[in-house]
Order: sequence, then C-alpha cells, then structure tokens
Amino acid sequence: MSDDRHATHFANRRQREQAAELGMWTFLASEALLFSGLFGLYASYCTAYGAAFYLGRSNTAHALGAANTFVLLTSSFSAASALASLRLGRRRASVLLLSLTVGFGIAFLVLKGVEYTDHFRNGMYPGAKHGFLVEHPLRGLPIFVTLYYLMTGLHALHVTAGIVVLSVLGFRVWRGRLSDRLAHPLEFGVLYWHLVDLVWVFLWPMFYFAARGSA
Amino acid sequence: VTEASEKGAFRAYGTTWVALIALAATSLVLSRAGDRQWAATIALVIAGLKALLIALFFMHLSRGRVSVRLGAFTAVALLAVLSLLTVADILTRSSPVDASSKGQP
Repeated sequence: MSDDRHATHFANRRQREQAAELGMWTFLASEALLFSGLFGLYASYCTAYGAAFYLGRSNTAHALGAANTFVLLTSSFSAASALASLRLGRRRASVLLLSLTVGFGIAFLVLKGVEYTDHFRNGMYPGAKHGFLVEHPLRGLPIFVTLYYLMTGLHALHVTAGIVVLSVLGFRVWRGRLSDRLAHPLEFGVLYWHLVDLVWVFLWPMFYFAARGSA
Repeated sequence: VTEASEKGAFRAYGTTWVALIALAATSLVLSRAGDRQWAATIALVIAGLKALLIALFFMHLSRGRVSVRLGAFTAVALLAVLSLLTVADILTRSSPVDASSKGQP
C-alpha cells in the first residue's frame, strides 16, 4: 500500500519524507543533549567523589549489566533487519523481527527490574535507612546512587517508549498499512531504538565497570 | 532503494553486529581488570567505537543524505564542545572549601 499524499508545501512525497527524516534527526539530537547534560553531571561528581563512585560501581549488578548490553546490541541488529525486510517487501519477516526486537526490549526491562529489586533489598536506593548506604557513610555515595537511578531509569523509560512505538509499527506492518512503498515511519521508529542502544553503550561502563576513574 | 542494496544491508548489519559483540566482550574482559585507570580509558574508547558503528551502519549515516549527516555532525560537535568545557571547568576549578578559606574574611 502506498501513500502519495503530501501537504501543499511539499513538491512531492519524496520531499515530505526527506523533511520528516531531518526532523527525526533533530529530535534524536535533542535527546542526545538531554542525556549529555546528565553525563556532564556524572563526570563532575565522579571527579569530586572518585572513591565513592568507585565503591558505587563496585556494587552494581555487573552480570545483569553485561547481559543487558548483549540484549540491546542484538535488538538493534534485529530492528535494522526488520526495516531492511520491509523494504524488500518481506512483511512477514519484518513483523517477526520486530516482535523479536520488542521481546529483547521486554527482556531488558525484566533484567533491570531484577537489578532494582536486588538493590532495594540491599539498601542501595536514595534515602535508604538500612544496608549499603548506612554501612558506607561515604561522602558522594548517595549522589552516585541518585545518578544511577536517574540515568538508568530515564533510559529504561526510553526503552519502554521504544517498545510501544515498535509494537504499534509492527501491528501496522502486519495489517499492511506499512510496506516497501511506505517504510519511513518504521525507519524513524528503528532510528529511535538505535539511539536507546547508543545511550546504553555509554551507561554500561559508567555504572557497571569497577575500574577506578570510569567515565 | 534497490533490492541488491537492501540485500547488501543485511550483510552489513550482520558484520556490524559481530563487531559490536566482539567489542562488548573485550570491554567485559577489561572490566575484570579491577582498579586500573587504563582499563577505564580503554572501556570508554570502546564505547565510542561501538557508538560510531551503530551510527554509521545501523542508523545509516554512512550512506545518509548530506543534510542528515550535517545535522548529526553538528549535534556531535556541540556535544564535544559541551563535554570539553565541562571537563575543563572541573579540572581548573578550585574546590568550594579552598575558595571559602582563601577568599572570605
């Protein structure tokens, strides 16, 4: 199914898609700026409270963080392949690959939930009155914990949004509303998913590597 | 978009994924190095490489239009300026304790 409609200020459908693509990249750039502010905050506090941040990183769930990295990298591969499949007219393969991507996203959130639950049980959360923060009254450690939840939590929200977007797009592909002739909505959804992956690539060493001076 | 270019895209995605997994595995090994400054630096360089691979091949910047590449480049350049200024501020600023003990009567 093709969609040749375009607003009067566009000469044709191709021009409309190019404008939409540039708009999508502008949106992605604004998202990158949102996270870069938090990265700057992390760098500042990490410099000021190096020992506390080292202790904090030493106590995050390293195995779950690594597992989530492999999950997200693989999900980006399946998302990119879903788009290529749709462009080749293979709608069924595209829907399957999108379902796989959504599955990876849900797996990421489940692992993140396990990680958070474990930290809450051990008293590693802002304002905890028992456990980790009480046993280690180190200046700067509560800041690390707050940044950990703020940044990984904001990222998890983006993963959730990506799951919703890809699910809706997958449904539209399944119903034939998106096809090789009208694939750019899926292209934008997949671009968003790659950005989510890209942010995690940096969050991983920042919060899950116990090397001194990470990030 | 031709069928041949899309079939070539599958191969490019596969190669990119293998490279990303290999880099992530390298990072994982380095993360076991413990309290080493160089391990942290290499981990961040690897993160940058992974981000570059994702942007170039999964997000198609390697074959994108000039306007899109320019937009992405501008975003990265502005991020670099922001990061450099932040790091410069951190490295050159005296601590609040020092400032108050020296500057205030």
